[in-house]
Amino acid sequence: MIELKNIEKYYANKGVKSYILRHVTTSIKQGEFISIMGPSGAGKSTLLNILGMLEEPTYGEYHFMGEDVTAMNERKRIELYRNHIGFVFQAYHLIDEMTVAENIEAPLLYKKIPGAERKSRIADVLDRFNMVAKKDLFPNQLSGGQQQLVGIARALVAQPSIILADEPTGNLQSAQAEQIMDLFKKLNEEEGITILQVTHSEKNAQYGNRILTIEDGVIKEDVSVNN
Amino acid sequence: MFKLNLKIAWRNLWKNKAYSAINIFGLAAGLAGFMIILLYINKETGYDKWNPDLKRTYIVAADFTKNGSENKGSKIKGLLSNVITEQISEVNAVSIGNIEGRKLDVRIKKEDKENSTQFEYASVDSNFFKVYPLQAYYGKMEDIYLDQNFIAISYTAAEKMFGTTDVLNKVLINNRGVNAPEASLVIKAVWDDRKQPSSFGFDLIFKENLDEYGNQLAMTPFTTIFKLKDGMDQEKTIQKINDAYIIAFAKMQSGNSDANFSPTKSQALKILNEKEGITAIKLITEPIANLNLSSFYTSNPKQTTIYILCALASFLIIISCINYTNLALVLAQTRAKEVGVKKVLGAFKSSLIHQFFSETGIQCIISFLLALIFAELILPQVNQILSDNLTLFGTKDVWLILGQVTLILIGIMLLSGAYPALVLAGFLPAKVLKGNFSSSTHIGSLRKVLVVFQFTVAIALVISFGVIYAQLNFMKQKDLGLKKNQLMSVRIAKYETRHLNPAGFEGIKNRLLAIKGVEDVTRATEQPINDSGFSDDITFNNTTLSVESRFIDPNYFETIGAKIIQGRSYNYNLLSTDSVQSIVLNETAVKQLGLSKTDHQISITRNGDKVKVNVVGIVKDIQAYGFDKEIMPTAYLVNDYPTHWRANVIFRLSTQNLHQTMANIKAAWAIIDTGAQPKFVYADEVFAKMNNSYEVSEKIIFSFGIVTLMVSIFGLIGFAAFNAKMRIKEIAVRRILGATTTSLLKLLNIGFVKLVIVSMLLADVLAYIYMQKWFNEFAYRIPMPFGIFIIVNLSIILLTILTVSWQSIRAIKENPVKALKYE
Repeated sequence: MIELKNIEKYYANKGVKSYILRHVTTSIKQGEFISIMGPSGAGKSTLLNILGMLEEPTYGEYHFMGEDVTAMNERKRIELYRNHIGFVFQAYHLIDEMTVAENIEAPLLYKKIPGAERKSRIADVLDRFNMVAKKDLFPNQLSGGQQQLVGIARALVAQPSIILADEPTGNLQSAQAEQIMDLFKKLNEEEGITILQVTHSEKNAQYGNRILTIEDGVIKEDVSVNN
Repeated sequence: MFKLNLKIAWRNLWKNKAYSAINIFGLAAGLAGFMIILLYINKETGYDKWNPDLKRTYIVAADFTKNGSENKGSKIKGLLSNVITEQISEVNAVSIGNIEGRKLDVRIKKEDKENSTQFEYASVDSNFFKVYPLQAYYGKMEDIYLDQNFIAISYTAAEKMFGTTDVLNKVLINNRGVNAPEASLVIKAVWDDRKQPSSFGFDLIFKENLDEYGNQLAMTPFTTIFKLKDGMDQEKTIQKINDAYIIAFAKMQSGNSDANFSPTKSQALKILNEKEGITAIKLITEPIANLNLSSFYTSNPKQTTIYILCALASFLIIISCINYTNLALVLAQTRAKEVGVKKVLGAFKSSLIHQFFSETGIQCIISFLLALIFAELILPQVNQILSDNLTLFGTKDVWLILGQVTLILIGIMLLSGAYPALVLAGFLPAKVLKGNFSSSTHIGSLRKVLVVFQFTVAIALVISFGVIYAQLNFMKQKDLGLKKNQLMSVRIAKYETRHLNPAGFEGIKNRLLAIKGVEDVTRATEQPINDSGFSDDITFNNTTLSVESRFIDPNYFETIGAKIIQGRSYNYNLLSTDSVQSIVLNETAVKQLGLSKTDHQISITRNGDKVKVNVVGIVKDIQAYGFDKEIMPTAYLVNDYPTHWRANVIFRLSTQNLHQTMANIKAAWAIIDTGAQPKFVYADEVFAKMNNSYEVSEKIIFSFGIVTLMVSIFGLIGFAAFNAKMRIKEIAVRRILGATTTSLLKLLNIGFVKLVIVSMLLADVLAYIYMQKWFNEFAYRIPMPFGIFIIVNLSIILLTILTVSWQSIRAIKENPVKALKYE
């Protein structure tokens, strides 16, 4: 599904290149649940951003479902967001001025899905996440765990093929974190959604079936996990 | 999607209530001002537009220098109309008449003498409607030519007089004053002056019977208008008319009645110089289209006023836009996350730009509605200041105005919304979503320029107001040379009473003096504050000086409160000698003649003869006209009662029971001047009227200055508040490192104060240049009041520091732990 070949990312400052990613080559298959681990500043988030097409690599090839992303124009890239990629953030990043239901609706609006179908999909997702009663609340009226649930619901409602999650449980207490990780696992196993998460926690990494460890911009380890 | 965006926009406005209010009210104030100015401009530029041949219609008059003095009046001898008809084939039609400035009292009921209304009227020859095609609303315009007493009336005048407009064949009684019989005027036509506004101010039209003039027609001055044929070269024709007139005029004056005598133009000019003393002559031909805005004959053309108002209105609008842009940029920080998330969810940049524009749109539309309300509310005051009757709703102009304002509104949306929308939509999601996003905390250079521009305009206006105020105050305080309060005058209508000498007037004077509250009574040819219209030449030691002559009664100076600084005033007991051989001069005359004291003998030219007179007294200069004119050298004379009528009776009243005194005077006057409709004129009111146009500009500058300053301060409040909020982390760190409140306030203030100081310097220079130019209008002015510059500058700095500190103090007082905890 995803092919990375020799991805490099560096910033040139006064002739000195400071590397963030070096020679990253890997491939991700449909249905995998991958955790990216590593110390702070190792380049995990940058790698995730490149995968999510939020940043461009300085050098290297990136194929997403057989298409060369680096050669893609912006409009095409946005089409990809709409149809294939869902994002989940550490700080949830819900839009404060929208209610829960409206937040979930937003990606559907951009996908130009007709009103009736939007309603049924939102109802469906709310129901699945047990949040029907909270659909008219604003994000600041919810707890952190609930906000992250909305964040995931928002990522899921567009029916993406891959979810990119940047420390999705970083701001949560452990009980809530566990709930979120169970949800990811379930989505991965039951619906076959590819999941890629960045995490610090060894425990959370165990939910997936593959762990990539990055240090100083280089992939140090790539191991499978058997649960 | 649109609905959702609208909802978000609304929620955002509500969340930032204070900022939204600043934006919306600021813009509304700007728009309201703009609308009112637009109304005024539309009205002033809208005259005569209904006339399809307006571009080919001209008014013509002569400007000539005779015996060394320039004569310019808006009339020209009837000769011109003959010349045009006979010689200029390019002209379609020419019409003469008395069109400008003639007034007439009319009333409906014969008995009801008190209730008459004054209108301007025109009396026109039979070609008038061919040149100036007014259309009848009722009746037929040409019907006025059928009889001397048939008239046409304007729609508004008809409504004012009768309460209705279908007034055909109704009668108005014309009161021509005490000395003429009354006439019944029959209305034969009504024209709609609302649809056909005219730069001439007349409300009634009569026939002018040219036959009455006989062979004097060619020499009598008339207002002359003509229309060129279509497609004629305007400049050439005007030149041709000019030359033809000069030649015909010379021919008429030459006394050479030979039909074949045909001088060239230079010969003609020579003849005029020899026979008439005319050294220069030219025709002033003006298109009627320009008449209202910039005529040769208006000293203070409306065009300048319109330019100034346009400039002020544009400043106001631009400043409101700047405020909007600035605050929107400041608020952009809080919207960054929203932009990032939306982009990641698959929003195109264009749809985000769209969204932010629609937010601007909402605010603009709210402002627009508010502005309509504001404009309607302040129109009465504006009308009072401009003494006009502008209306927003209910005129044919309302759609024009709304159309224009809508265009402006769209302009504003683009102007104020474009930059913030582009900036917002341009945020990069990877940066925005990383965590704690904050853009650079210092003020961007564009924003700096915007703030400087705002404050420059505001400060310049406030300083200008201060300077104008000081000058007006000076004018009010200045020693006028007479005591203007409780000084009242009235004009005698009856011919027999006008030309009495002091002895003959004694009886009337005593009757008036018997009224309680009347302290003194005197007479003069003119009101104390007015041009006399007479001039004489006086000579001393070979210096000849043209002086203004004022013909007065002996007790004139005492009554008006003038001060004799040397010698003596006139005296009733010495009248027999004074009237022959004495003269009182004002200071200016004495100075210009080079006299050192009284008792000099000078000669005055009287009826072409030089007569020797003694200077018996010198009076302190009297400000008899506005401050824009130098006081003329003036001679006060007590001779020549039969020809120089002392038609103005001047009263010095006591301050007590003014109301009762006036009632008594009116009662007495009704017996003295039977049948007249006296107009009592108070010197202080005349004086106030003279300064009226300056007071108007003072008020306009004041209103704009205050609004601009307010909008700028509003902007500063928002800006400072946000600045403090953005730097909250920096403030917390500095506090932990031991910074005091004062040092933090200084830190937050310094950036803004620097900007304001730059604006101040610019504003000082601008205001100085503008005011220096404004002062040129005055013969009597104060030196440039630099104190006002300093006071305004210091107050603005103080205001800035107060505003910024007020907004910053909350951020400074906040517990630093709270600010630093969350990362």
